[in-house]
Amino acid sequence: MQGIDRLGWAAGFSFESYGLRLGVRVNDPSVLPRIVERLPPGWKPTRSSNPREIYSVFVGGAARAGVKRFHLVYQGPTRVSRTHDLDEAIEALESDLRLYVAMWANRRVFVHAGVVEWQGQAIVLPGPSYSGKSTLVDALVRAGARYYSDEYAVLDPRGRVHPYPAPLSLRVPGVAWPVRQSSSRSNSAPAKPLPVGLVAVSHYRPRACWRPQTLTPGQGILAMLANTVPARLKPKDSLVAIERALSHTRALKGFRGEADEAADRLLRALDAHPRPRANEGASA
Amino acid sequence: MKPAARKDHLVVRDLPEETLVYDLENDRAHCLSPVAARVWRLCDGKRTVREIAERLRATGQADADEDMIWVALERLGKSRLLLERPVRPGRSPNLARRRVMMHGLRAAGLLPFVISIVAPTASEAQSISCTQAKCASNNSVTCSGCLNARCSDAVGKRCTRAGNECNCR
Repeated sequence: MQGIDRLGWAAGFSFESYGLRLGVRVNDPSVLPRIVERLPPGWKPTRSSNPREIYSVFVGGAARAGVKRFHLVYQGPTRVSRTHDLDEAIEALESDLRLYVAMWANRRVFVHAGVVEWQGQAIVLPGPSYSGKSTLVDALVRAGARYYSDEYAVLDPRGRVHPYPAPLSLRVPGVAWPVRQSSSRSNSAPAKPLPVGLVAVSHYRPRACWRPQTLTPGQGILAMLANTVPARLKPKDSLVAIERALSHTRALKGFRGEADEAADRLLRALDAHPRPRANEGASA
Repeated sequence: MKPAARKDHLVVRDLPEETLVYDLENDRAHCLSPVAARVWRLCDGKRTVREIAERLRATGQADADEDMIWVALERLGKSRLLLERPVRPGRSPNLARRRVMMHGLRAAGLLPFVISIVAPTASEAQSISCTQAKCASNNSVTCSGCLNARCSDAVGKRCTRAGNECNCR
């Protein structure tokens, strides 16, 4: 770390995201606005002089004739990226920051999932990359649901889902990187945490019809845990948060065909079997 | 044979019917069906298989017999939830009989099943989009931030690091 400290840092700032304080420093202040654009959703500036982790971004480029220095990104003493492409370096910084927050956020459990709000309850769509989550979230939003996240379901210890208001990212055929959607679909960042009304584990299969099986409560929790970022780091906290989130909640699993059809059926499924309100659940 | 349940390095959560067990030694999570959970609780290292069956029958599991307990023990042992993996003395039921028995247990809702998953690492649970070119673009500690991520242009492959080289394998 002392070696990195000696590289010569010209500017920096600290910020907080989901209760976690982090710092960023750069050797070239002109890159700061681009970094600020890529900070984790919901970040707030802080004056903390003692962040949990410091990210260092060394902007390279042409040093002298015929010599091109690498752009470097470090998380603490660990190198995250070394590249001649500054966009790639900032992309790596963004990705690592999001992962770090998801791993170590205070009193929050991050589950890799899409989330929308419908009638005051959350529909949670856990799944790995390329399972079609973002496409389904997009279809649900077009069907009238409110966007909460297409990346993480952020659970608190009571099992409620908090928003992760990053712009919706959709994969486009032929393009390897997800394309961020315009703010009209995903910018109305809601602040209210929600109880989970429905969990749906779906996998895309062409021409499939959404006829899901209902998972037992334990199977539903395992399906969520299989997509939980801090599952190995905080297994007990993860299990408790997921268990509370899924109490009195149905979990479905199956293949889906086109997203619009599945979205319509999911909304109807939640309409037909909403989660009991807190006082009803307590008396049940 | 007196099976004993593991107690150490486990996180156990009791649901109304099932039991969840997280094994801290191998980062596997298990969901025990109600019958499997009851058998597991009765494995105290003092009771024999016959005594476990009797105990289950005495507490309302009228169909519990030794065959069913052995099925449960096999599955619990395979999931490493017992101190020792049980070995059935004598001959096991032949395949045909075993199928009939399993069918009967399933129909009665008494199948002592254990569903297991491997808990993901943090980066496995993250949404990362990586190509073979990006993975192999430099050999940093995190392979350009792609380490363990799926490679979008190589089906079924992940970006992994071998020695000093990153590649989709």
